[in-house]
Amino acid sequence: MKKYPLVGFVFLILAWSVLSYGKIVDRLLLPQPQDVLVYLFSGFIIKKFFLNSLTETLILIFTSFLFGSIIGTILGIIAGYYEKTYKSFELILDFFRSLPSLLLIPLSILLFGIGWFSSFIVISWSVFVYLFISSAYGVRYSRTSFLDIGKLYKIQKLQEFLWIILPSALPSIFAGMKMGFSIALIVTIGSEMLNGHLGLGGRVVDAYMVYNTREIFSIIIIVGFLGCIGSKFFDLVEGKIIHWRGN
Amino acid sequence: MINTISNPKSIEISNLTKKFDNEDYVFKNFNLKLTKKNTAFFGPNGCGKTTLLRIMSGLDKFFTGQILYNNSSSKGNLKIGYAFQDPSKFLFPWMSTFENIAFPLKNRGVNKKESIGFVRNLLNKFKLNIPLNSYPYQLSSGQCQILVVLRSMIDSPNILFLDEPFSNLDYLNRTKFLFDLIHNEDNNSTTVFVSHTLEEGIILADELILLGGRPTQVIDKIQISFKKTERKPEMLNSKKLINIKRDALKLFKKYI
Repeated sequence: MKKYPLVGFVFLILAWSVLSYGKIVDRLLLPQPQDVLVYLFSGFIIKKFFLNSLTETLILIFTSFLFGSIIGTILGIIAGYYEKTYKSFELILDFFRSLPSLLLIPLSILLFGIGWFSSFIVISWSVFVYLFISSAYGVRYSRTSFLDIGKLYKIQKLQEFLWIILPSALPSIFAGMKMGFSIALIVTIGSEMLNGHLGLGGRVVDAYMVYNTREIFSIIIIVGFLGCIGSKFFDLVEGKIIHWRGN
Repeated sequence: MINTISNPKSIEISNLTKKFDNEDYVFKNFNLKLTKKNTAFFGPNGCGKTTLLRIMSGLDKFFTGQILYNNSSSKGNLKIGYAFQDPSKFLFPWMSTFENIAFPLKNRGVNKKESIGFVRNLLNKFKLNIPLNSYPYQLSSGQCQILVVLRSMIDSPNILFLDEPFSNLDYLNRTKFLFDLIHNEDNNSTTVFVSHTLEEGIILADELILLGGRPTQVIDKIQISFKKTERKPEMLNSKKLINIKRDALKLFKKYI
C-alpha cells in the first residue's frame, strides 16, 4: 500500500517526459525534466539564488501567519464568549472572508508603500479573519451537553471556560488554522507577485518576463512542496493535540 | 467521598407545566411527591421522563410550577448527581477515563491523589476493570455508559438521577450493576431512576411510578415491598415480582 502514493508522481513525470522529450511541446515552453532538476540544483546548491527568495517568502509567511492567527484566535475566543460582540462582528467579518484578499493588496501598497510591510498586513489580515471566525464559532457553539455537566456541578465561570469551552473549541480553531495557512500561502505568493521583487512570487514574475520557463517550473515545485509540508505539519500537530478528533 | 449534608426527605413537583416550542404540553398542572429513598419512573418513549429529570435536577429552568426539596424551593447545598442517557454526548472526549469520572471532585477542589483513591474505591465496589488512562473513544459504548454512571456517583450526591443508565449494557451486566448498586453501602443517595424495563425499576426502587398520556399523568404508584436482603438475582423469578409486572402492564393497557 505504501507504493500507491508514488504512482501519481511517476505518472506525472512520465507524461512530462513524453511531452518534452518527444518534442510535442516546444522546449522553450516546456523544459525537459533534467533541465529543471539542474536548475533547481544550481539555484539551491551552487549559485544559491533560490535560497534568498525562499527565505524571504518563508519569513513573510511565518511572521504574518503567526501574527494574524494569534490575534485572530484571541479576539475570536473573546468575541465568541460574549454573544453581543459576536453578533456585532459576524456580518462584517463574513463580508471580509468572502472578499478575495488579493484585492486589498493595491490599497495596502498605497497605504504602506512597496515592500515587505504592505504584504505582511494583507496576509495577516486574511489569516486573522479566518481564525477569528473559526475560534468565535468554536467557542460559541460548544456543545450544550458539555455545558450541562458543568452546570450540574455549579462550575465557576473561569473553570467552565478553561475545562469545557476552550477544549471543545479546539477542533474548530485548528480547522481555521489549516484553512488560514492555505490562504496565507496564496496571498503571500500573490502579494509578492504584485509587490516589487519580493520572494518566490517576485522571482516568478521576473522569470516570466524573460521566458525563463525552467525557473517558473522550479518555483512551482518549490511552492508546491512548501504547501504540502505545511499541511502535513498541521495534520501532525492536530493529531497530537486533538487526539479525540475523528473518533 | 463523605457527604455531611443530609438527604431531602421529600421531593415535590407542584403544578408543573412544561411545553416545548411548537408542541403539545408535555406536562400540564402535574403534581407528584416523592418520599421514598429509591423511586423509579416507567413509561413509554416520549412521555417526558427525561424532561422531568432535567427539571428536577435544575438543568432545565424553562417551566412553570415549583420543585420543592424538603418543602423548600431552593436546593441549597444539596449535591446532585446525574447519569445522562447518551454517553457519547456527555463524556468529555479530551479527558481520560479518570478525569471524566473525577470531574465533580476536581470541580470541588479535591486533589488528584485523593481523587484517584475515590475512583479506585468506586471501581472496586462494582468490580470493574476500566483502564483509567484510556480515553472515552477507546472504550465500548457500554463502558462509556458506566463512566457516566460512575461520575454521577463519585462525590456522594444527595440526590442521584439515573436516566436509563444501562441501556447500552447487555442483560447480564445490567442486572449485575443494579444489584451491586443496591448493595453498595457507600451509596446513600436518594435515587430517582428512569428505566426502560419494569424489571429494572422493581429491582432498584421502593416505589414505581407509572407515567403515560399526553400531557403526561401519573397512571399509578406501585409500592415495591422487597426488603434489601431480598433484592438478589433470585427475586427475578419470584411470584411477587411477576405479579407487580402483570399489574403494571394491565394499567398500561389503555395507554399502549
